[in-house]
Amino acid sequence: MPGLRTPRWLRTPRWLRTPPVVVRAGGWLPWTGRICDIAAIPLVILGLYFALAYAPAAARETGGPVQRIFYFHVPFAMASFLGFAFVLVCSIGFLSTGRRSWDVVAEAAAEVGLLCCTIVLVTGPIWARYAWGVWWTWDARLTSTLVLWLIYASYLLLRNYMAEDPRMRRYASVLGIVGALDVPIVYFSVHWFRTMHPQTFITREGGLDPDMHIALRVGMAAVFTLFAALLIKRIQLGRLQENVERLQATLDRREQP
Amino acid sequence: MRSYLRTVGAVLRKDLLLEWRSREAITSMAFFSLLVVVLFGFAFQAERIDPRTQAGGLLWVAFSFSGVLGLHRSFAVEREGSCLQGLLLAPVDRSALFLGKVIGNFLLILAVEAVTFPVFSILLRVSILPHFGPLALIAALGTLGFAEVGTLLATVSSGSRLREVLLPLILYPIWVPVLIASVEVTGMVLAGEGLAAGGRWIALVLAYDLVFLGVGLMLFDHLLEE
Amino acid sequence: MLQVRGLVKAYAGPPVLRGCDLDCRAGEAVALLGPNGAGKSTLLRLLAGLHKPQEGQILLDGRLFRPDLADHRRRIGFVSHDSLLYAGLSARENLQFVASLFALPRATDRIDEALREVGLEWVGERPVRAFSRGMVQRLTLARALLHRPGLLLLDEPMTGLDPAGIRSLEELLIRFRQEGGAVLLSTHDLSHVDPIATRVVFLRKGRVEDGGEIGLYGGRGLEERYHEMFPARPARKKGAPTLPAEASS
Repeated sequence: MPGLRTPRWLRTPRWLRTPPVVVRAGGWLPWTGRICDIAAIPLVILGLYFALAYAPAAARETGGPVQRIFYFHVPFAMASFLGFAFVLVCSIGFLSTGRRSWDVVAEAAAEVGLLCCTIVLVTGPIWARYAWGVWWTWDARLTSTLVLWLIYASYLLLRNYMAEDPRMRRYASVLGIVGALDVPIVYFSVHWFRTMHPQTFITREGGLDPDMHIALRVGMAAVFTLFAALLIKRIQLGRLQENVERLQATLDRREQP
Repeated sequence: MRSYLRTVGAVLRKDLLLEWRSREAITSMAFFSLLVVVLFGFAFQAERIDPRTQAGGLLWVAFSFSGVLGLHRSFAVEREGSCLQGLLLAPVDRSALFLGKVIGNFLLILAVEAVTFPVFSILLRVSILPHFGPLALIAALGTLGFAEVGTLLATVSSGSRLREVLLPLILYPIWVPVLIASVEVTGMVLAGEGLAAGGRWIALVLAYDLVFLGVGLMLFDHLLEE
Repeated sequence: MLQVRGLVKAYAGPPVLRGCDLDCRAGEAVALLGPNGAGKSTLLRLLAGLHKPQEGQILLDGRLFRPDLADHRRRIGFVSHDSLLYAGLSARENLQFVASLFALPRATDRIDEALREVGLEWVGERPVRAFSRGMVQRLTLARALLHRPGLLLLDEPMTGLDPAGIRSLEELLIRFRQEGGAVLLSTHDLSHVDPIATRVVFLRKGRVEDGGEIGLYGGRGLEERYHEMFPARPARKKGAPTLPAEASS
């Protein structure tokens, strides 16, 4: 009612106020997101425990105590490949249906995938430096992840540089498909390259202790849950952005006589 | 089918004719490729390049750099006078336009390679004549992959105002596997090991060429829709 | 021949066409008139099949117009201010390329004929780069007519033409019409509508608002009707503060 306002001392402080929900992004996404958020923290803590305490100490030549990075390093590498699977499926989905919601997920997956790649490319050198004295080893996993990082980054760059263009989503989808299909080819080529030019630093994955296996599994559970949580958050953000754009367009239309 | 091939032929003929008239792209590409070879010669300060480990890399880097120049031209030509609209108005299959452009770019880069190989051989003292056949094969296969992905991604990057900068950024990461394969096989061939040693690399490049030909034919239409 | 019903087209924003209806019969030449932003170019591009409408129907010879079908694209010729020509090739080579795209039989004869129709047979071998604006426009027209379309769409074809160029365009269009073709053109040049068009249509903000046979607007009638429908903005009163000028729609 005009003229009647809540007295200042009764109003909720701004920092405590929930922002008004503009449009409900419904469906199964919000509660799945909430479950992932709640599950992620204990799983990460559990993963850290398994990696740092439960897993047996590694041999000197694979790095000693620093080798424990492996239990998160490998799952993040897997997650970055998973991100590309999402980009592929969603880009195809967008091109065939034309519905924006597919593209929103593709963009979200690309960003989260890039994050996972970055983590791999940071933990890898840290491990290598302390284990073998060099910052970079051209080993198969690290090199594949580097190329993957470059493909992700170029995808996001394209989206950025074409932001105002209405064709952007279609063009980005094409790049997403091409990049994603390239990923297995990159993987093979880098692996064969490494077997032809073997290095002295071998990161053995076969021949793992059963305890190491368990620790790795826990790490994977933690990382994948984290991946899901971040992805869902980013999708929700993308949807909100889309809603804002739609509202803006409606306002623009109303202003026209 | 015949009309499809006729369209491909028409686009190819038109592009080659246009290029032949001005010869701008091929001269700048060839010159650039040779420059790269010379620069590397200085950079490595070597009187002799090791055919097994260095020759392949040098050559394919030169081809990758000059190839990007050629890709730009292929689409710049259609922008002048909005000729792309003319292509869209014609009763032709859009993927045939893609194929025509791919073959045009392929031939252009191949021509640049034909010039670069002899000069490289002379300047850096690597003999290529005894290995002509195998070299031609890997050059053709690798270049075809570059032309396919390059043509597709040149169309993608042409949408942005930063198209010249963007093309190498999106093309090179995707080009990496074929680069590795081509460099390996070229090195093997120049070192006298023969093609058979690089069998699975050639299979990789072949697979890449087939996959991205299919992908390009299927997706090109989406890029041209307004 | 052409029927348009309820066409709606929006790019990334408010709709440019909001329910456009139009008819064009064989032997007719319809002139689209309207201010900038009325949607004339958009309408023509939709009819050429370059864009897809959000809503509405386009019927060509009674059948639904499907631009993705090659057959349908054959029936349309489109001329805009873009030349659609390759500057590095000669006139003849440009037309040869179009002929092979359209798979025209006896292409060489047809090309000779087309060049003669537009009066360019004496510069067939010269590169388009050396052409004047009028010559480029004539060649663009020849290009559009090469495959003998039934419907010719022209988007402001008289821009940049000298009187001789306009005269030859008029003759060409009249001949095309007399041979049974339909013409739809948009123009700003009201003085040259009369000889070409048989009917006019006024387009405002994406809708057809008025129209009629050219005979209804004898003499200066067309200009008067135009200014009646689309008045120029009133002049500013001296000394009064004004709002910043609206961006033209």
